[in-house]
Amino acid sequence: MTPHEQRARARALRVGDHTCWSYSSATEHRNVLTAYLASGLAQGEKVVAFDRRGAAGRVAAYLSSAGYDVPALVASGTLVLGVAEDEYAPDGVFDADARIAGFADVAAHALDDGFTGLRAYADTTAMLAHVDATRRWPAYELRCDLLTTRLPIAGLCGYDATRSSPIALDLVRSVHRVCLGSRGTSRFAVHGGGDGSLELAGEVDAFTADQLESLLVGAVDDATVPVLDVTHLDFADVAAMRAIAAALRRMTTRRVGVQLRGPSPTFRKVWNSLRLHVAGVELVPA
Amino acid sequence: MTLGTQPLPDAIDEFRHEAMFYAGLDGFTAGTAAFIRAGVDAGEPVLVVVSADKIERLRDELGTDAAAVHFADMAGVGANPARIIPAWREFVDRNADTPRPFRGVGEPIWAARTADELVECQRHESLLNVAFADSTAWWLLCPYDTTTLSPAVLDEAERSHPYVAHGELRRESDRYRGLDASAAPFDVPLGPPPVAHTEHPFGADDLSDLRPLTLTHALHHGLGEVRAHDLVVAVNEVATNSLRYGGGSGVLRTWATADAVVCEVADAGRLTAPLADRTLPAEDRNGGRGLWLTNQLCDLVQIRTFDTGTVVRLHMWRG
Repeated sequence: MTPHEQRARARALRVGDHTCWSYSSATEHRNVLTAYLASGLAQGEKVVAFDRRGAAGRVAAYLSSAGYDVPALVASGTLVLGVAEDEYAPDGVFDADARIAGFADVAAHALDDGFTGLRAYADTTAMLAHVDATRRWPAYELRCDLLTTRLPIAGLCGYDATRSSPIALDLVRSVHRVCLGSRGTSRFAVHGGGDGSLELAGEVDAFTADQLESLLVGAVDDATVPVLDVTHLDFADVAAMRAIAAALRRMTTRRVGVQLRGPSPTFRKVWNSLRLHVAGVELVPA
Repeated sequence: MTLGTQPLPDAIDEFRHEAMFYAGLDGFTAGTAAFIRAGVDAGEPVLVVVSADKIERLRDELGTDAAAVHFADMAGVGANPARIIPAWREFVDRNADTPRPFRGVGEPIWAARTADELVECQRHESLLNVAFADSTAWWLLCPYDTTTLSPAVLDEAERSHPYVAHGELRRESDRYRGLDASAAPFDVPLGPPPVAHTEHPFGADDLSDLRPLTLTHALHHGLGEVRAHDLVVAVNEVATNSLRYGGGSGVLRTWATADAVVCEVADAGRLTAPLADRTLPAEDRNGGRGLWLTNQLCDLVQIRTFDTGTVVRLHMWRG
């Protein structure tokens, strides 16, 4: 992708877009982030940017170079700058519930204050390897994806590809509705649907089913509607089906009217053959 | 063949697996109707799994007694012979609390079975002894038509059944192969794949490649979309077993015959659990469902375990 295309795609991101961005150079970082943040400011959105530790002043410099009066934006509450590690793991502790509640709270106040929405950027590279967060991080990202289906938030999650494990990056890409840069090699994707459901797509087999179960079980409570949509699930083996059943069981502990939407004929046959029926879950067409 | 003359037992205290040799439809009706009536008269639950035309004949013969009997068409239940034991298992489980024994009639073998189906039916008959060795008491009668089946098939029936009957004459089979031999790994050779087959060796990183390959093969040879995807799931499960339990690699062979789309997975593992493909593990147990699923999805599954490894051959009928 050319720098021009990168900037164009970043500018086009809107509230409701939860975007994974694996960047690989300082130039790319500057181009994309400047375009993304400037687009939000132009649309009357409140802008929050949490850059990684050690990059103090980088975002402010981007905006200043683009002609913005950064001190004035900060003073008016239009722009909030911070350090990602401090925001996500204060005192070394990662609290996913608190972090999500924090974004929801900022978004709500932004609307109250007359902004059109919240545009957030966070460089979360460090969280992929954070001792307290690494295992829970992908499910947290999925919860963020669901959050952007119900609040006017544009979220851009930056990962430094030169400092991140390709496997970990693949997994976080799979829980963002939008990707800038490489989509990686993940064979499945799970994210929030337009109606607030959870949508599972692609292929899941015995070698990825544990990842899927961890993601789904960790995020099903955040779905606005109690629906897991598998319309675009191209392949699921026994292990994948059991992961889905586990997630639905979890969903039924807190919700009524749970639906598994859009199973293919083969999915239904396998589901029934394995006797995976979950009480309180209805299989419905797409 | 020498016949003893034992009186019909009034009661059984274990699983009794009995081959009943009969001649033609009249012989079938006379032999099975007497067996079924004895069960109905004793208040025993009775399940009869035979062909649709024989069900009709039995209903006529039994008259009002037929209302106390459950019937199922073997063409559906046993199209894939490996699905028959689960059906009997359901029947047994459903009646586990019945204070008296119960009985069934099951005819999995008939003359029109293909050669491959016949072998799997014979394997099924042997495995019944294993499946219900520790079961509550019940009596399963397996009719064999001496007018249409070959002597070799009738001979094998004597080896796979601890008891045999000719009409009301019942005896132990002195040729029964026994429980251990019934449970031994099945190593009856499979015919070689045709020359025009395709081989796809696979390892840990190749599982996802097998899926589009299988789908393309299935669709190319005329399977419908849904059945093609069924075959993909089945092949994936068997290949996953190769990667996990079969030495970490395997070979997928694909071909088609006039009747079937065939996929075969071979690996270096040994399958020692004789009922692995006919038992759905408890919900809380991990693993062990792949082979079960292949039998639910495929029309015929042939599993062979040799000293050198295991071969699983999956058939989907064309058209």
